[in-house]
Amino acid sequence: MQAKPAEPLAPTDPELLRQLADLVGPENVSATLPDRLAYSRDLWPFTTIEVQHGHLGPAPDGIVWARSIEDISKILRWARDRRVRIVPFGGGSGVCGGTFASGGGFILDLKRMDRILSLDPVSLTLKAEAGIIGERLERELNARGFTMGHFPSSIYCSTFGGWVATRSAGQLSTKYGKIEDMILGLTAVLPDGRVMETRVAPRTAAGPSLTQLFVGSEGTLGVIADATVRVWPVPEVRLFRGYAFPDVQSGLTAIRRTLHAGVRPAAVRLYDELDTFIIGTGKGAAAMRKDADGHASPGLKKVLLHKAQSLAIAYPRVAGLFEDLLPETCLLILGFEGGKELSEVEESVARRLCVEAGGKDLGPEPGRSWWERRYSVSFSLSPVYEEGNFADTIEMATTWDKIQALYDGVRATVRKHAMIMAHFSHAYPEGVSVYFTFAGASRDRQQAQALYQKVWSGAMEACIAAGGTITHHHGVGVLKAPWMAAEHGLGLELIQALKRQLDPDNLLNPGKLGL
Amino acid sequence: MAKKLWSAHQREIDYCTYCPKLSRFVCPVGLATRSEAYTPTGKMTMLHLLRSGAVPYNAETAASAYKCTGCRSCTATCEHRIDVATVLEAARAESVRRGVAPPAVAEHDARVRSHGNPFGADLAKTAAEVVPAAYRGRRAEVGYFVGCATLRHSPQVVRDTIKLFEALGVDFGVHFPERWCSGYPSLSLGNVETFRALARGHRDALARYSVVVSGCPGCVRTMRDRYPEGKAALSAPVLHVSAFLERYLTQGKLKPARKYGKLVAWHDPCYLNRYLGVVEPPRRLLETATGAPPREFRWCRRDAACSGAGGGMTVTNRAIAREIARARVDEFRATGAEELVTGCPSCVRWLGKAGAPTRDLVSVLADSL
Ligand SMILES: Cc1cc2nc3c(=O)[nH]c(=O)nc-3n(C[C@H](O)[C@H](O)[C@H](O)COP(=O)(O)OP(=O)(O)OC[C@H]3O[C@@H](n4cnc5c(N)ncnc54)[C@H](O)[C@@H]3O)c2cc1C
Ligand code: SF4
Ligand code: SF4
Repeated sequence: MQAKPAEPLAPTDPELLRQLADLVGPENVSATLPDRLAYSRDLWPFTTIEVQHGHLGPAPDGIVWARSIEDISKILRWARDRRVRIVPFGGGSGVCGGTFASGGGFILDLKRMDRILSLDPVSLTLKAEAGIIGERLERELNARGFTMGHFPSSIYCSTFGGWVATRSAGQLSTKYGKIEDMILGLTAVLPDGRVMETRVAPRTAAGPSLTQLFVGSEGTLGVIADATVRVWPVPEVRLFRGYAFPDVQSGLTAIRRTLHAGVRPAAVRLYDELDTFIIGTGKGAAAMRKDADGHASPGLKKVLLHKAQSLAIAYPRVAGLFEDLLPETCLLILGFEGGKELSEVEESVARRLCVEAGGKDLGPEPGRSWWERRYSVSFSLSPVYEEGNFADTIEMATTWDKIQALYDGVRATVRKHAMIMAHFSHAYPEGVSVYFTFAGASRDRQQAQALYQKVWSGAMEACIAAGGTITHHHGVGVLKAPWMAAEHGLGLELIQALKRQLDPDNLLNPGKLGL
Repeated sequence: MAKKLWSAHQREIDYCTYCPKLSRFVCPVGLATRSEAYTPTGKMTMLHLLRSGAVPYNAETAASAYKCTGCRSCTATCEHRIDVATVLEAARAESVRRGVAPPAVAEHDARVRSHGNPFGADLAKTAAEVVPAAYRGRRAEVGYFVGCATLRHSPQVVRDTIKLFEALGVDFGVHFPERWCSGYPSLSLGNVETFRALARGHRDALARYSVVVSGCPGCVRTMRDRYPEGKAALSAPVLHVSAFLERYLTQGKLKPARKYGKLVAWHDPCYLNRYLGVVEPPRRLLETATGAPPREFRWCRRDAACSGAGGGMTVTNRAIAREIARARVDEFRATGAEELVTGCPSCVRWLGKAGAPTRDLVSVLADSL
């Protein structure tokens, strides 16, 4: 696509740059074109479509890096005095436009604050600065004999502080919890520059939780400088088991009964028919594939699948036909980890419950191969976009009684516009989250974006109608802001009032979370 | 419409542009700058925008592609094995052609053209001091390719290499050119013409050997894989000295007379590790010399972090290259070792400048003879 040369970016006010350089040192301020362009996007697919067509998102005036809590304070005080907008930025892996500098302003990048501050081997707590990249943090912990148990698919590209700011969930959340379950305390710098450190305690009854106020605040209420979380010893064993279920419903029943029996698998992944078929092309899922469709040549199948996928992306109706032809198999993977004794008992109880619910035992292989390739799905985005298509994910959650209706409702609306598949990967005794992946195609940017918006509006309305929450772990950003009122009702006014109190001029990450 | 830029690399550029920055956590430049612009995704996106005409091709936008050490950490992490370093190198060559490369690039080129090496140094004098006349250009089975960085910064390593070869009874001669540089730095900065001229200059003189051995992994890789592009393909195989010496270890000929006394850690040079695939031989050699396996860095083998010395970054982006070295030296300190041993003259120098006590593997081996 040959784009028209974009309008040159408006030059940044040199006086602002000079003032910032005085505050934090010139090496921590940039307004170069490469930097301004790079920070004009996070991983919101809407902007990736822009880039696909040679366009760019809104560029910030510049970037400022904080090296300490004091730096953050100085920057926020300065911004308030000068009425300059500030957008906190971790890894920019957010998928909802949460780091968009729509009305200009400066990006406040936290990655120069990336130290591990303390690791307490007795209480099993870790305190680290916000800007450390997830995979580097986890490897450092592993080398010292610990794990956070937090494995988002974006662990290679997201930051510790970003996880807290978005209420992130990892692939083993059913055992270790989401970030809000792991967090024990944090230090936040308020929009006026004051520093608030919450108390670290196993539990407290001293009024509402101020730690949780900042978890999921997406950079709108303050800047998270560091956080203290729970860690675990590196697990002694890691056990997997795969099952084939005839449909989504029986698979969900098995998960529910397992959770209700008090068993806590680390990994729970139930794929619907289409998702099962697609991941079934992965090398290691051979056991499941054999069960599903006998003995098709894997090479030929891969080619056919690729063709079918491209067709289905371009023509959602084909996807519908295609789905009707799919073998009726839903793959469930359960993973258990921790001490050997307990994990083995949990695994065997879950196995009995799964078989009773109609699951066919596929042995450990599908799970092991998923674990080995657990980040492959993130790598698969490149080929989708390179072929001119787009893809995104929608993650919602609800209680067990409503999950089937939510799943059916969202699929029914999205299927009209795009290919859609789903898996269920974060389970709780009271309910579960569903993670839809959709893919669409259009050679024309405006059409692609219109299609994209249609899918999202349809999905959000269907979710609200079914009584689900509009997001389980990706957060809101600008993408889901229009549905915040439907999500929270009066509650949104409360958040807005708080925002006005803390940040009367709406300078800290404006426009996100519906604020 | 004019032919689009870098069409041969369209797939690589697109893949990285649409990639959720999955190799950022290993990119030394991305880590040192903590800037989104200099993650592998950021740098490749700049090429995507230049290709699509969305941004002007000028000195400011061209500078991005110079922020790469060529370490290939990204490629090693990438499930698509995208060779970002090579694509960025092609971009640098284009920037030189357009005259928008950083000024240091032309200055470098002038030095190489006038002196045959990037330092603008008279290396003939040093060479005459360290290479005994009898070995200069001697016809033999093995040709020792010294390389300009070793000659300039660690002449003692040349003496030690000769000492080792003599002790092992290797039939060798020392390639003794007028222009000591293999051309690797010119190639990586985008000075392609100069690279080609250097490559052709070495080709004929190297034809007399059945195997070429060098202590510089950048030179080995350039001669082995890139000389054909300069129409200077070598007929002989090219080996890093550690891979060459390992044969003597296997044959039981390399036996240390005394243990090397210091506790050492092994730094994997990027070119040795991720380009030449030589990972275990230096470790085995070090174990022989010291009596124990070397200490390992937290990020080692396939995941080893760069020293910052590659890709011409010490010429174009010195402050970043220094920051990369500082991080690696911090990692060295955490190993608890007394000495950082490696197998690349540029790593020895650059990590040494950043405060680590560094030594070349060959010197450790020579000491233990
Ligand atoms: C391929 C891919 C896979 C993903 N998989 C998962 C997954 O498995 N689980 C999951 O939960 N998410 C996932 N995500 C989404 C994303 O990685 C998470 O939302 C992540 O937590 C964002 O972290 P970040 O550091 O990149 O934050 P950013 O994108 O930089 O920021 C996200 C939001 O938080 C704010 N923010 C960031 N840091 C701070 C701070 N220190 N203080 C205050 N505000 C801050 C920003 O202003 C912004 O609003 C995925 C994304 C991609 C692209
Ligand atoms: S090299 Fe691979 S992992 Fe890195 S940005 Fe490119 S596609 Fe992504
Ligand atoms: S080769 Fe190394 S420096 Fe260059 S982009 Fe890849 S990881 Fe970064």
